[in-house]
Amino acid sequence: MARVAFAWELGGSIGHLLSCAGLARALHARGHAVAFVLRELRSLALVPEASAYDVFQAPLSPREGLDTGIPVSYADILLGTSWRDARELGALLRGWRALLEGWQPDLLVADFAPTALLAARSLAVKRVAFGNGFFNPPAMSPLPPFRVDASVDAAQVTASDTAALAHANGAIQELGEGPLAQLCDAFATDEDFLCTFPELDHYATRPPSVYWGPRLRTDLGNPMDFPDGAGKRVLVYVQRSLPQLDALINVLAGSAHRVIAYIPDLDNPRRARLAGRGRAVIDRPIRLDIALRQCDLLVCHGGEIAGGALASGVPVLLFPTHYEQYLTARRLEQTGAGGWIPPTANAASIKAGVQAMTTDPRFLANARAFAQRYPAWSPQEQRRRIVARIEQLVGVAASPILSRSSPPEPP
Amino acid sequence: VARVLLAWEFGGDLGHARRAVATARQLRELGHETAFAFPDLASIAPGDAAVFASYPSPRLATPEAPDPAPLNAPDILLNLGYADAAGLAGALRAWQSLVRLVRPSLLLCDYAPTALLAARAAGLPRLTLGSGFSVPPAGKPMPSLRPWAAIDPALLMQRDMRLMASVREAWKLAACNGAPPETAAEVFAADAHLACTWPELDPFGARGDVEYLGPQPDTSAAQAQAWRGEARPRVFAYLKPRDPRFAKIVEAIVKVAGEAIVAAPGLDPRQPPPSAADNVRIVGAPVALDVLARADLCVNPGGIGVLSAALRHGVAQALLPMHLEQYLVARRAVEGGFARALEPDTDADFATWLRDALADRALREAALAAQPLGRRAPASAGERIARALAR
Repeated sequence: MARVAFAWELGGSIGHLLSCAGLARALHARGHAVAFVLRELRSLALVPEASAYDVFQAPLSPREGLDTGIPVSYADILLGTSWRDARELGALLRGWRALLEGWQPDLLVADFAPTALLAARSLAVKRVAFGNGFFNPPAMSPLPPFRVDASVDAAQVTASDTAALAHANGAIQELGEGPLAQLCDAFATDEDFLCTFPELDHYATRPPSVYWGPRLRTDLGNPMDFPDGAGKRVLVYVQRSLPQLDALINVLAGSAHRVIAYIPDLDNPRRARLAGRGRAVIDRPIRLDIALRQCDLLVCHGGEIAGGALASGVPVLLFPTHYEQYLTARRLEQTGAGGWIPPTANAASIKAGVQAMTTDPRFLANARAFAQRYPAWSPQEQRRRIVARIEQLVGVAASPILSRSSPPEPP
Repeated sequence: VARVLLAWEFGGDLGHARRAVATARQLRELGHETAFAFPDLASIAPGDAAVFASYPSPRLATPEAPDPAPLNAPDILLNLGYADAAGLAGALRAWQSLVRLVRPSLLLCDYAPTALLAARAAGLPRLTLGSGFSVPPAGKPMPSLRPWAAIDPALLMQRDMRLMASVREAWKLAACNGAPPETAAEVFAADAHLACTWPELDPFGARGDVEYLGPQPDTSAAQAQAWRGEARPRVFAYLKPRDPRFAKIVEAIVKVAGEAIVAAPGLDPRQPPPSAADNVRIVGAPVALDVLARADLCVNPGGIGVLSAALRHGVAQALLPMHLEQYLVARRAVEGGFARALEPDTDADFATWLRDALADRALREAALAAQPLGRRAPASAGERIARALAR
């Protein structure tokens, strides 16, 4: 059996951990050993099955995020981390190499983990990227811009790319390696698990690629039905830090909609305002497969759940709070199955947004049409194919990738 | 050959990395391997990083609003993330995995209480290494960090209990073997505490349960600097550019010194220098401390490296502590008579204060009289640890 190490290096959302945990669980169930190398460790409490894995802190720079503006390209994101400086990048690279040399994985699964990929490359460890479009930039030189709300200076894109490449080369040359010809070579993998749909790809300009569909976790939590009643069924999954949370709560509490709301660590006064007849406020995730089957609208920030809802035929209303989510929101809007509320919108716009999404039949029709385009996609089937491809890469399974003979995975 | 995992978890100053590298080199000469766990991997020079495997220390999530005036050592840990049992459990699990990966014979913990807990769970020998501050005197409740202020013991006990509730919960969540610590004092407990300082400079005062090895020789790279003229007084300053008082202190040194050398490691080379005066040289890197031999005054925050070097050279000191540890050490130096110290939040006229210190004959004489304290030969941390490994 194989040893598979997961690396989550950048990005603040726990979606990275939950997605990795979903795949790790399937791999572990098939007898593979798993290690997690994580950006933050406290969320481990959400994935109790990880108690069977080795867990390590991901090497990070204490100076990460200092004086960075709004990034235009993946290279800009890198320059906001240890990649701003060859010596610092070299130090983190050594940290990743020490972990990989010590744990000896047969395969590294990189979820927004550029330095981990560079380390695996330097040790000739097999590696795959595992993330949505934003985390897996297209293999182009220079790495293309993703900014869509402002004009982009092509010279600046090239300059950032050149700087990040120079720092990477400075770091790997210290290890006695030859330089990379282009920055995207640092992220070359044995497989790119691009976990989104082309319609939702953050890089609308990506060359033709294989899309594996979103990494939706549907097996977490307990099954739960929407409360009885006649109103539309609205599933809410937002963070407590949403600036317009009070306005959203007021709109929902003043409506006839049936609501299931998961807002982690919600304070009691707000909980009391939102909860009521037909509106349940929950403290733990619920089984999403059941909830999405029943649901008329998902309200969330973005992430894998947005694409998963769409592929389940459910319209989505987004509250993007950072640029990656904003790009998802723009792509979702283009499908005609979603809308989004900017951080500056007032209570009246939020009310109008929820109203439109629950009354205008075009949103539902477009969501259903989207789902019909991907009849083979389901969270389970997506994971089954990824596991099969991983087993092919590490050479432990001879079965064809799309064979349906593999045993069923745990629910 | 035995293997040591040298774990550093908290504290941001260069002192931790320097002590770690010096100790690892000593152990290497004695035939033992050392692996590092560091919160900042870039704090090791690439040459050392090529010799000693370096892993990232597991991180805790720090609270959104830490208490600006922690009462006792448990309170400091609560401020550093120990209040969050889920976060502590995650870090504890990661230390356990790292111990399984590195398979050390011994854990050497430099302000690394979570590594101490992991060693306890793994049944591994554990030693502490540090400047004294990371090993608070034991007590129930754990004593106040400000012995000059009256603090209700019930408040101290409350901090201890909060810490222990979190530690017990994390111990369970991380599925640790064995019994968790029963008291706050046990969280800090180890087989031996090795303090790289002198008893006269221990922030908590001389104690019986600490082995004083003395400041370890600094083997890290430093620039050689020499006095250029005969102008007096000569002021050597070792300052942190991040100290909000930095520019004002430099300005005051320019005013009072005949000649001054200011070492300011970490100074941003892209910024204009804080002074262009002829009588002051500002170096944005560590400076070799033998330059103290012919100095009249040493201005520094109270870190053990510079403070003990100035003591060794018999130079009077003007201390500007930036945080509690330095403040407690500065108090000891003032008690010893060879230093003056300013409270961190004093809005002082630095030039007058420095002039007074330079004119203080008693201070100068006390510094010379205290020189033998600083000239004691330190015991090698590496040899002491090797003895523990041989057991």
